[in-house]
Amino acid sequence: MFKRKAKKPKEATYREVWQHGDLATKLSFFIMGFAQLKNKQWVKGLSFLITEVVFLIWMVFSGVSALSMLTTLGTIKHKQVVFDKTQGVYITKMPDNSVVILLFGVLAVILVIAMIGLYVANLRSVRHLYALKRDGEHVPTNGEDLASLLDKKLYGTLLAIPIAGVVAFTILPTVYMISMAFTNYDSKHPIGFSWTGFAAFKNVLSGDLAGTFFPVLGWTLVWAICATATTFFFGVLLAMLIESKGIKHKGFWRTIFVIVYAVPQFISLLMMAQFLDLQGPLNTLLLNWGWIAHPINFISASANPMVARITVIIVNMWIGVPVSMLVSTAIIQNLPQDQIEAARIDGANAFQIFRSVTFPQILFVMAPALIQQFIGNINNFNVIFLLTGGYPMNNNYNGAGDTDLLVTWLYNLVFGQTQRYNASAVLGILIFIISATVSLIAYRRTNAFKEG
Amino acid sequence: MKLIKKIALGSSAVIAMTLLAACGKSSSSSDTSSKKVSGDVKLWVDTTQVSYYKTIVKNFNKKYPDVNVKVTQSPNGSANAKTDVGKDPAKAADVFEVPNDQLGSMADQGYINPLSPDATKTVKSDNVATSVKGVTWKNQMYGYPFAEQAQTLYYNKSKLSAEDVKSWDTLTSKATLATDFTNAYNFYPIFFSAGTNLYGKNGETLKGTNVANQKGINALTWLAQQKSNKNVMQTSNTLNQLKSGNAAATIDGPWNTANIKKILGKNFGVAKYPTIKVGGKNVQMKAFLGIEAFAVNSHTPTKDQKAASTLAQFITNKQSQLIVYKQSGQIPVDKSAQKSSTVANDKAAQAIMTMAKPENSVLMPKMSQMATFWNLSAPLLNGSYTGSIKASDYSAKLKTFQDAISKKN
Repeated sequence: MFKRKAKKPKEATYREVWQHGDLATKLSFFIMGFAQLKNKQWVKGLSFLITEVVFLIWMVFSGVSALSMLTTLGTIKHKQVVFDKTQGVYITKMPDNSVVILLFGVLAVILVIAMIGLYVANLRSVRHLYALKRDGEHVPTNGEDLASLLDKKLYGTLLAIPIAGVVAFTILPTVYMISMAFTNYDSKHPIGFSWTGFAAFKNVLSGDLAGTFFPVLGWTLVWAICATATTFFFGVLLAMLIESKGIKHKGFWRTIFVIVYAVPQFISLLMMAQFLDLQGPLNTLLLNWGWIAHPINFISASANPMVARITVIIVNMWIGVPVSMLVSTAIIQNLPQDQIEAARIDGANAFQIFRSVTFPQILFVMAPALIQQFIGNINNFNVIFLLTGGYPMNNNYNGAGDTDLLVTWLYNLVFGQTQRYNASAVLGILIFIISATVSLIAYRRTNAFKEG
Repeated sequence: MKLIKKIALGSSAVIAMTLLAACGKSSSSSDTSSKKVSGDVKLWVDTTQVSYYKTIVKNFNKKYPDVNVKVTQSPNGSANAKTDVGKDPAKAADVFEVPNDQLGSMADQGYINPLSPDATKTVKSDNVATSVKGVTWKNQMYGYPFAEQAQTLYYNKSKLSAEDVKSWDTLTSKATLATDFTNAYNFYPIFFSAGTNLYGKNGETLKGTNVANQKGINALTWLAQQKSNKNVMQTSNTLNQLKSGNAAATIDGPWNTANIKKILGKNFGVAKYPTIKVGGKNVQMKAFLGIEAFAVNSHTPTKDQKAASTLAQFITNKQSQLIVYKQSGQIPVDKSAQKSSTVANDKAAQAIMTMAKPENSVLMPKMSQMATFWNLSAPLLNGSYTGSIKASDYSAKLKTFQDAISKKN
């Protein structure tokens, strides 16, 4: 994917810098910014120096303790209740708050890594200075250095804020959440928890959650495939129908379907849940017409799992088809007509044209979007949570129902009765691995990737 | 590399400041005398209760003018006190409302403090024994009880007589009863009627559950029989069915008394649970008994602890319990409040108080394993009701269930 940069020969080795450099250069290996200061690069030198001083002060006062506490996540694991005689009340002494310790520990690790990066940058800068002086070249002044930030090194200036944002809002929380999977952070250890290695993974994959994990994973995949395939197929079909010759008021038909899409999803879904209720309008209607003798239990807690799963897929079609329709309409309108024309002259019928000319072209354009939809469906929280809430109940599962996806089950584990944060973190990691693998494999197989 | 510098600089400054702030906080000390009660206390109650708890707090301030009380609604209602307080105990209220079954795990996790010996004495002497037992965990009291909740039978007097509702079989032969079998709170007590225990007789014994036997099978068999009973209606919205007239009876709790009164009007009828036939014997249908209580957050600063527990004690005294009863229909647990004329003349209150007696209900256990219990019991009950669990599998399913909820964490 990435082309390797041609390697330039190094200006000088660090060994050479160390052996032939002057005292300031040598000192720079320990005191960052010394060589720069000696060469009157005040801005660069001072920022290196101040950063190192601040880092060392931080290290002494809190960095070391944050890092060492990270290894144990706090030493006091149990609360203590003591009687306060002056107040006449009981006071509880809390265990060490592992959540905070973990957060600051992860932050400290990131800072240390950043500092190592900075040290390497300092060494490079020193080497560059050494080489410039050795070869008798011009050493950039403060002004030139600063000006280059807006010119040659503009990329660095522009990227500074985004990268800081990514580190603070993506990398830090992600590492923090991932590390929870290796602890016993759950409702029994809500404040003081400890590292437990892969125990939580074991629980999910072979322990008390395995009996739920694998069936739910299976249904999640079945659901993602069915939901993606049905919405795509019927969306394309609908688009072709509307676009075909002889259909009047195309705009009107399209608008009607887009309205479904325009209504906020959670409203449509809650409405559907009401509509399909055991005592809901649909059942009442069917009963009144005499089509059924007993109300059909579509999605409630005591429904038949098969009925509920099929219902969910059908309702999802109702919500998802307009989206696919809209996308494929755009593609169909831009299909080259000459190929279709040629096929027709050669005597192909409508189905053959669809199968061999139109459909492959739509698939070619839409394949990446399909993969994205598939991943979206694996994590389709809305449809399941708002429509069925995971119901019907399943007495073989632990905290999940028959229509629960991994992601809704994860939600139950966190916010439900049992509050198993570590197990949820494990699930999150597993969902990521599944999504990443599937999309990577699928994407590399698409024609769009091969030809693009 | 400039940017990395900036990050390093910025973050270390932030950390330094946080640490300074953290150090500053812990050094605060308490120097209030025990005689005079003062402090700042935050009180969490349910959204609908805020208005009358403000009145109660006004009464409190007449007696304790130096305590500054802030009444607010709890984020997700008292039923979710455990999770709400757990999210950030330091930011949660100092005094909050909580159902008694959450007291056990909250006490174990250290979110709440035991009552002081003085408070224990007062609460014990003022309130009925079941409510005291309800807030006691491992021989210490962890909450100030103020109301008791047990489900009871509500029916339409135009369709059913007081004689009809004495037995489940007679009742369902004459009219339709609407209820929700997917709710374990409604139907797990059938196991109690069948003669089993949940966490022993005291509700605190880990290995005390004994459902994996013939009695447990009898309970599940009774549930399965209800599916074929045409006059037992499964619905997730019973009040709608009462309103539309499709159903003439339902089982519900004091929180819905006012609503049902509105729906049924002059036909409003209330009675204790009927008898049911389990395993060939006529037995009393039982209910879960819940005690509503106020608890004190253990994260409350030491200097405010006294004020917080004084407030909790005051808002659960007789006068306050009667205000709550008048405003919301919650049944008081204060001995003399229960005997006051308004409560004694209230049929619904009397029915619930009857249900609260030990022969008709079982106190909700406070074990932390109850979380697993709720997750597993509903599918089990519902599975037997719908028939997705075959009669031949009952014994195996009950064994799995019993083992799962009896696991030490």
